[in-house]
Amino acid sequence: MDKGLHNVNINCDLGEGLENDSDLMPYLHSCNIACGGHYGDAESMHASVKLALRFNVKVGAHPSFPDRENFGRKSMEISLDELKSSIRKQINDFDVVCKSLSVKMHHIKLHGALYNVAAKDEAVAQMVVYVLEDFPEVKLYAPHNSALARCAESKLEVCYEAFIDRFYEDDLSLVHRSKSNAVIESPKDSWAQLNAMLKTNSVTSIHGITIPIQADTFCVHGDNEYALSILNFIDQQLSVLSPMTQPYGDSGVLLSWPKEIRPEIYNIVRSADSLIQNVLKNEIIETVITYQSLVVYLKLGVDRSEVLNTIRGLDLTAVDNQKSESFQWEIPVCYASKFGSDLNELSKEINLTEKEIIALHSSKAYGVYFIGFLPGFLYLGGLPKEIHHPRKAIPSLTVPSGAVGIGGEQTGIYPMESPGGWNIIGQTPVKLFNVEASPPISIQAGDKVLFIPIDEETYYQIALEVAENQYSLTKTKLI
Amino acid sequence: MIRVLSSGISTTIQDLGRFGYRKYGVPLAGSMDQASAIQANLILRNDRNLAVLEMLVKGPQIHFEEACWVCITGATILATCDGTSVPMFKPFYVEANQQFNLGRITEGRYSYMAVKGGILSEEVMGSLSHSNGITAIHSIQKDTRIEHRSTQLRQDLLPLKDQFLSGHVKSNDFSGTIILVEKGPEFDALSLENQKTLLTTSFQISNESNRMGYRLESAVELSAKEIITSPVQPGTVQMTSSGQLIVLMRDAQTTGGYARVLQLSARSVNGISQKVVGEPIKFRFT
Repeated sequence: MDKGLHNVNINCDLGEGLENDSDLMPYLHSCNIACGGHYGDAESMHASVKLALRFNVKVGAHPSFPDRENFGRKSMEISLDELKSSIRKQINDFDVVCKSLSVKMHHIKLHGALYNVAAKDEAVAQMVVYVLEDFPEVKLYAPHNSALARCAESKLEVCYEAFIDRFYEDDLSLVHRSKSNAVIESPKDSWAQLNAMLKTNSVTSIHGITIPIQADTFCVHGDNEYALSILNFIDQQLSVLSPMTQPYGDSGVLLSWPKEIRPEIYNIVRSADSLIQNVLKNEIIETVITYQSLVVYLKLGVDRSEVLNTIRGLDLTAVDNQKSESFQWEIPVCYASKFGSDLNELSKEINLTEKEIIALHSSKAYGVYFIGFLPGFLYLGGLPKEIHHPRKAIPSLTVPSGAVGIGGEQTGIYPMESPGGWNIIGQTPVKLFNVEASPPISIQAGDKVLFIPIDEETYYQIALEVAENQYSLTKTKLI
Repeated sequence: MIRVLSSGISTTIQDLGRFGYRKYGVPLAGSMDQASAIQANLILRNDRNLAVLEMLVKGPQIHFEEACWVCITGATILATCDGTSVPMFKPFYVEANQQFNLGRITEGRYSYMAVKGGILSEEVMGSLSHSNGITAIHSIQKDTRIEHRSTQLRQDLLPLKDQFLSGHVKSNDFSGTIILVEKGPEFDALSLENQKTLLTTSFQISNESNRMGYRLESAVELSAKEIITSPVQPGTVQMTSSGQLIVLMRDAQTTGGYARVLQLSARSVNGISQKVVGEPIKFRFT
């Protein structure tokens, strides 16, 4: 699985003596570890690499001007040769630590002033690339179109980097830290900058100019006081917009959104489902959606990692406004005690009269989220809070076909006789699932269901019509 | 036509499953050990998806009204034809009005019998697989009449028979205890201790195991939070809040609310399907 925030590759400078490293790790794809130039020694590198290993975060060397006094943040008067041997030593020292822990050095990213100098100064950039050529498998993080990136492109694998928590000048250099508006501290503003870079490949400079920018990896500074709240906020935003994606079984791909039952999230899931079915119609056998996830089952022989890549490249954020036609269905339910076997017990447990429970249960239309558990079992959302009630501790061995129950914050109808743990409050005479019909159930995800209380006599009357195939449910089109 | 004289313990008709209806909550169904079912078909030069008989513990007694070619694969089963023993993994020619006695399964869990041309049954939603709540009958009963495609001439497969007699078909070794898995969606949410326990413990197949799922037993303590109802599939290993592990099998529901801690590959699902009660297994990452 691709790690980091929902496939957005986020890196962070760590191992710089701050205490929040382990809090930041869960959000990161990679980290840049101080290796003795501006901070750090064998011991601190060892601790940082070990920590990263625990969180499955890739590690990179973070060499700097050898200037601990200024934390590597000031450009230094130093000969190119001296600088070269210092950088080489810093990277080597880091590599030794990695090897001692059997970890691969994933990348190299320059620190502070050296990062900025190498972005502009051809000679420094060439020297850095010269040193890095000793590490041909290691990637280089560098700003797009910088001197360093240009020098390295033909010789090394370059990951273009952009910053989430730093303001940009018009020439895409970072606003100097000596200025008051160098660092973005607000999670909201950081998100806005990242979102623009992701969606439009552009960034707005401090002078308000929109400038194109290319980036594969995005940096948040570990020493930004607000790093954790920034990452946390970005995580929340991204998780609603873009799902986590992962392989699920040999021929399945799973997309997961935030773990909440909410119409906003569910609507995104549905839109993603129709988009993916459209884009991958030749690769897919079928899909299944639930409240906040979507599984895509692939045909035999389709490569799931290719499909994962395709899906990761799709914009799944747009909620489809041209929804397919949907209906509100009226389902007759008899709540008499002979059908609602748990109604009496429920009434005592939640301190409402049976009448009140029935009135509440039939007071509103429920959204059909999906069908699962049993063939034709509708997962309905929107049950009034007053009648939420946990499933029974010991499930009943047989719940009759048509039974209407309450399980936690959901209500549903058993489409066939089955064991079940929900509190049964009534029964519908209507058969919702019919193997001979196509589709086998007329009610679809996205529809609504309204329960209409009926008396026993009506129940048997309808049951008779159902048996003779004379009954059809009342439905009205939803706009 | 095949007449069933006695049903066996649990004999069903299965093809490779009912695809395309999971969004309606319809389980996949299909042969538990798909590799063995496919093997039986391929030995008879059938299409791999043709329906076969799946047998558990003890097979049925059946009477063949017409001559046909059959092939038995999967778990080792004692089979006789009018008293003569029937070899497994080879095409076998049954004359009209011969009686097949499919006896006890002695090694493994599910045996398969394919018929040249395929067994026929009520097709529901694109599949012949028996399935609770979907097909009118869920298993073969005494006096059930099983139809199969038209009789094949003896000569049809005769050359093949000799080929298979030379014995190059791999047999049924189900003794391996390692079950290859990948992380399930909720694996990372488990405590490190539980993660480790899952991958180091030897679990045993419980007697509460069926086509929907195999429960696992062990002395270790595990626990996982329930999740919002989410998709599950054959091979999903669920962990209940009390730590019960359930490996979902071919008749599993399509969605579930227990943590999905591991996911078996299709091959591993075939492998574990042949494990009998009490057999040990260990999970290992692919």
